[in-house]
Amino acid sequence: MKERLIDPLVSVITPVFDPDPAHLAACLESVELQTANRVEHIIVDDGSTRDGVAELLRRSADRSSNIVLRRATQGGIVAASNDGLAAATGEFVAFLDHDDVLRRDAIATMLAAFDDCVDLVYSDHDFLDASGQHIGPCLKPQWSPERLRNQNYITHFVMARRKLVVDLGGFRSGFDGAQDHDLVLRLGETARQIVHVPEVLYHWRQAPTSVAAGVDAKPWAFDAGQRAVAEHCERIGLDATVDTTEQEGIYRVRHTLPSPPPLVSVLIPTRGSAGYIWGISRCFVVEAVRSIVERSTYPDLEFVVIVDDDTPPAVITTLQDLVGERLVLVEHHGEFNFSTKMNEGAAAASGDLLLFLNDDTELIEPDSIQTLVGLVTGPSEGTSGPVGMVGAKLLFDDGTVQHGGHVYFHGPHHASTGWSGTSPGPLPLRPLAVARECSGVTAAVAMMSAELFNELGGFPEELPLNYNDVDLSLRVRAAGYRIVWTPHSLWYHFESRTRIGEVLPRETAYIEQRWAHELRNDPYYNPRLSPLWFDWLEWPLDEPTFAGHGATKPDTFTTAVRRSIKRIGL
Amino acid sequence: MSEVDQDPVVHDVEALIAENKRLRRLVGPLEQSYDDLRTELVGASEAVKIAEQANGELRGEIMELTVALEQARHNIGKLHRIVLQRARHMGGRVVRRFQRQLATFNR
Repeated sequence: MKERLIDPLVSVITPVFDPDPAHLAACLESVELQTANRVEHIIVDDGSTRDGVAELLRRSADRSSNIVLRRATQGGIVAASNDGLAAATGEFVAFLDHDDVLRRDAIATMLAAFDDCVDLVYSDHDFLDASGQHIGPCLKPQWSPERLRNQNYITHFVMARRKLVVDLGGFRSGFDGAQDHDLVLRLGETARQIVHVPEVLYHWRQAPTSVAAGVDAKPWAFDAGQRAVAEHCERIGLDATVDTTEQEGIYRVRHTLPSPPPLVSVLIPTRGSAGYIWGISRCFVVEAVRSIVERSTYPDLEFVVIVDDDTPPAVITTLQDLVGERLVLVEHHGEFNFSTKMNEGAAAASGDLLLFLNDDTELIEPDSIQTLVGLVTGPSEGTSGPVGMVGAKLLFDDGTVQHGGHVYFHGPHHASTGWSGTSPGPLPLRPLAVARECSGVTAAVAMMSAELFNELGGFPEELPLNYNDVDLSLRVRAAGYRIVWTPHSLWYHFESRTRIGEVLPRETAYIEQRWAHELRNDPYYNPRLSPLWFDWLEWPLDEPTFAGHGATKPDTFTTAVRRSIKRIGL
Repeated sequence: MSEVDQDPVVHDVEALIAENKRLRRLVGPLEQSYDDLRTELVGASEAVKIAEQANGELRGEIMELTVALEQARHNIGKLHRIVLQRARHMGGRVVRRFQRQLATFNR
């Protein structure tokens, strides 16, 4: 049972340097109005010279709960925050920027999420424009270490045990602009438990020079972020290089391959069927294999092709010509069953790693297999566990997204299907541009170790056509492993060109019965997002709870007005 | 069955000649024309791919706009619920005050 803390003191630390006085006033007032009983606000003036700021701080110092410190010389946000940390006496510390605003119950709500084992709590936030208008929310997933490496998705609002922050040495100099990313990375390495509060408790003002304002606002901040991530990788024993990407604030962590690189067995179930792609006929399996042979830069591959009885001999001959001795042919007899075929293929494979590959795929990025291998062989991380399975970004033949990871929220779904393949995905978190944890991935292109696959008993043969990857993904997670989806492994998936997509009722019943809770509660999505869309569409906060399958769609505007008129009895 | 048919080597040669004739009919008198045809086919396929991808970009934009539109619909619905809720609340206060005044007047 969760043990609640009795009225602990919370120190809110705000470094101040030349803010708009109106914004600073709003910030100070939002702390004064907190519903939590014991809050001290430590305001560190980092040598402000702007008119009105000194007066505001002087008035603020008159309040007993406020401590105003003045630095003789400007030392930057790190030095000012550390001064605040040194003066703090609370059991918990929270960090608030000088022009941002807290919801009235922000601190009380965050405190409620702490128990004896929790060391760090973060919440959702939204953005304010310069005039104070709310622009939109940032609805975050639960603790996602892979994502945090690639993107500081947490930013605000963070509350942590003061002792832990002090033991870590507080903020580090040299990381100005990304000091919060650096701190959260270090907290994540040591915290016993990290909790996400899915409520907008913090309003982040988009000042023109704020990181919240995005592109080119603070380029040095992203350089500092890159260094923070590189040092984090070193600390956790992850041999990797960190690159910036086209997307500001999103990094690419390239894992170094183990030496020697492990043998990867590519498992491809096929019946050798053909179809038209981009105007010409192709034999799918041949082109899938050819794309790997011609483009992939991964050095050690074995192709395990699981063929049905009616596979044309010419297809097999062509495959033999393409890959020679690296081809392992497995004959599958009887009805089509994806799970059985993959299990038969895995039994014949000799690789340490298995790459599940549908025959209607084509490799796009040459280092796609390296990327998957790097992720799946990465180190275990604290309480988060190792990566058990990795999925790729899949595009339809028109370049739109087919698979951006699974979302298990009122049923299993592909995230952001239909978005442009070049789009980073919905703002502000841009999920299509960042490697991140997700609840599951499609087996059309996915990798896991042969050892784990065998330990989990392979694909469920009760599910011959659909949801076999959903079941496997959920078993991977239930065994304590993480699943990561990456946009840096890029493939075409000409989905369902080789068979008609049809879900059997018994498949739905099987998956619902086995994973009812998991299919409705996706930790890497957000309960505030719409259960009817899988594009990070915000579900209005006061909407009634969605009742799951069979529930009606939200009211249209006209219906809402009619319903309200009826309700008020006009 | 003739003696020739029974000889597998002769049979293979005949099959190969037949295949050669079939291919020659397809390719024409010059091998170069087959290569040209292939190059043309690859080029045409590449053009189809580019057109498809341009189409996909537009489809992707439509999808983004659809999501934005749906978000706007959600927000309008929410705004109207808030406005109507407040109107109802204020209306209730006015009615209650009126009822109180009416009660005082009746007394």
